[in-house]
Amino acid sequence: MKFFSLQSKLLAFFLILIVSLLAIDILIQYNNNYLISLVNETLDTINTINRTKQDINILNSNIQRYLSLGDSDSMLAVYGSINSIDEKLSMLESKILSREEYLYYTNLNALFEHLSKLAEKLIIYKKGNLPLAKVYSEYIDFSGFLNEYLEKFSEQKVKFTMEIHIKAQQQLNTIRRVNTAVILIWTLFATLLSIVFSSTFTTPIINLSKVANKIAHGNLEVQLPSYSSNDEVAILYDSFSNMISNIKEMVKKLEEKADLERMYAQQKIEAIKYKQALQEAELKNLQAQINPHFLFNTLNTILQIAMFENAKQTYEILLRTSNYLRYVVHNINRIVKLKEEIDNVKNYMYIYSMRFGDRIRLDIEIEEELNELLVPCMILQPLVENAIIHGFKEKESGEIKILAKKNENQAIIEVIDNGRGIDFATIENLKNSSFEETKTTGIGLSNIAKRLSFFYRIANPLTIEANPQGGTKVTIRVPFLTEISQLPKQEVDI
Amino acid sequence: MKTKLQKLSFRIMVIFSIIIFVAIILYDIYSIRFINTTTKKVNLKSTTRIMMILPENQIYWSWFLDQFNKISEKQSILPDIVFYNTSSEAYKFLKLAEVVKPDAIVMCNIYNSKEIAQALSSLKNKGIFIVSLFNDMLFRYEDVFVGIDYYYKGKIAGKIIYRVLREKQNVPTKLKIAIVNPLYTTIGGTLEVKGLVDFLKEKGIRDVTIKNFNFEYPSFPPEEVARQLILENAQKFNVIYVGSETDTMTVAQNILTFNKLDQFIVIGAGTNEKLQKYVREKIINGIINDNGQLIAQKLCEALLSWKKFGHASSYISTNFEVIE
Repeated sequence: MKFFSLQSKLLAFFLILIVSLLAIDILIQYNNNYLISLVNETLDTINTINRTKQDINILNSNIQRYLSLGDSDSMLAVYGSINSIDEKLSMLESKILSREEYLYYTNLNALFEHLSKLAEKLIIYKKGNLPLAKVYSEYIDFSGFLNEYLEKFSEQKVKFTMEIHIKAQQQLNTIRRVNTAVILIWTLFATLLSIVFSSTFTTPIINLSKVANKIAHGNLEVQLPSYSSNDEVAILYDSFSNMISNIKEMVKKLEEKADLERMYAQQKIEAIKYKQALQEAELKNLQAQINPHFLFNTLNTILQIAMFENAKQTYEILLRTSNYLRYVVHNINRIVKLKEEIDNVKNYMYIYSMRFGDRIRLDIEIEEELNELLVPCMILQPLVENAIIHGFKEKESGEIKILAKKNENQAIIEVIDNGRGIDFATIENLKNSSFEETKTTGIGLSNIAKRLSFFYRIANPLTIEANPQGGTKVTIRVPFLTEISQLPKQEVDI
Repeated sequence: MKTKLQKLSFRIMVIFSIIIFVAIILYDIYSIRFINTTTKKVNLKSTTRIMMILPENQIYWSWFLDQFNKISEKQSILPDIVFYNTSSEAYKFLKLAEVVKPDAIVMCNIYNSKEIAQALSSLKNKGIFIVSLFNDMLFRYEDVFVGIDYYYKGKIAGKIIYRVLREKQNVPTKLKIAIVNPLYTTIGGTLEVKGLVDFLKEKGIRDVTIKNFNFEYPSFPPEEVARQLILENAQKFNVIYVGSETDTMTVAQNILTFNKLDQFIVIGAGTNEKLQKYVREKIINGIINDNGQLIAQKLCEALLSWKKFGHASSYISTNFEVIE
């Protein structure tokens, strides 16, 4: 605890108050006790005086008895009474507090001494049968004086005690009044100073709360008023100042982080936009490579010529080529049935066999109900084309098998070839969606996988693996959906 | 300024509090010390013990004793004051004095008693200092007389009477005066009467008749005296001269009650404010007061002088306060 801290200041202040008030209280208490003891002593003195008076009466009785009986018992009783009175008078000496008491005590002693002598004189006169009336009369007078002075002593004692008591009470009342007045004045002054003193720590706290309020409303640029002291408020100011600095630093860091994240997101969006644009460009490029109407019109003309010339084989190939091209050139984003995809594959394979002979055989096994499966356009033909190009590149003959079956609510389409197979690095490339081939239709496995994933809103719809019997097996697992309404919401072309 | 005051406020408060509370404690200690010292035993060995033997009435003597007690306390004189009603009581007190052996006896005796004279002689032989107070009836055994010049007092009273008569422009050649006094002033009264008569005769009032109404409290109520004098006035008094405050009040009130204003010249005594009002209203024509404080002072001086030097002036008289 620092010496000049608020706590130590207040403690010291209240300690002074308590000690002072305690001292005043003890003094007053001490004086009250003194007064009580004074009264007690007076009562004790009065009691002694009363008992002395009783002894004097007893002495008188004993003298009377002795004068009438003249026996030794009465004489001894007289001396006993005298001793008793003497003893009690000695006790009174210690009780003298005032000059009047001293005077009366001196007189009492002198009177008692004289009375004792008179008593002895009476005893002697009685023994000697001398006339004792005059002495006895004097004895009675002085016995009365002794009682009077005892009474005077007692009255003086009470009077003196009362005077002291009244004076002390007045003095104590004055003390109390003065104390009360001074404490009231002190209270007034101390209150005023306390207000000023309390403002030494309430004002900076109020200023601090104002600053805190501004900070709470987001104004971090507010300046903390200066406060130079060595107390708890100064500690509070320092802590608050540090807190403001820390908050400012944290806010700055958060802003920087937010800027970075915003920049990163922007870059990502731009990359996606770029990719989409690229795909669209690719598609447009593909579409632009052919003028579909011109091509189809031309092909129809050739088809009609081939029919007029009865060139059946030419007619057939042109028909298949025309169907194939119409299927391919049409909007690639459209939804088709699996049956249509199979037909397209058949057209492709027919064209392929016309070009390269029957070295590759296509085997299709599809469960009947799967013909109605809704799929994105151009997913099977690129797979078959990939198998032919990569699987049978260096092989004279082979077989491509397309299997489609339903397993619970899932459709499983497998494209299996018995070509030369596919190595691990190629599989990884395909998985990483980087395997693109310009010599084919240009639609790679990754494109198919993405489209399937987007179309059905599923993850990993396509897997590729080496066939245990040699060759490659591409498996498509998609939900068995035959109605457009069952499809996830999307922009579709039918 | 405000900031400076704020910074200094705590120090000011603490210093102020310390000063205030230390001052209170010191004041309390001082006051309580005063209470305690009042009961401290004082050295009583060097005091002068006296026995003052006065005739009753105790209340009457307050005009003197109040002052004497105040002065004697300061002078370390311890008075043992006793009051007697009879000559035998006065004698017993003198015998008591023989036993308790005070340093001095101060007595105002009003009895011409042989026993008292013997007792005084015995005390004198034992070396006790004897003071005769207010009168000279201690059979010449007194060492010192302390009192009033009663002859002069009588002349003052005569002056007041003559002034009133002159104001009325009616100075008679014959005057009847009633003197109302407690018994113990009888002896002093002789000289007083002489002074009064001498003055009036000097002023041409040849036939002055004096009648004393001396009485002992409480056997003779002053009310009765006042009623006889004022209401009945069978003896046709012109002047009523009263020696005590109580009796003066009684006479004045009776004059008012029976509507006897201007019928009497009244000379009284006392310090009561009401009496001064009566003087202003001419119900009482003058007040002659013995100067109690001065007598007390002179008495104490005589006692201390004797105690210190073994002798004192044998005759000490004081003057009076006159209100008219």
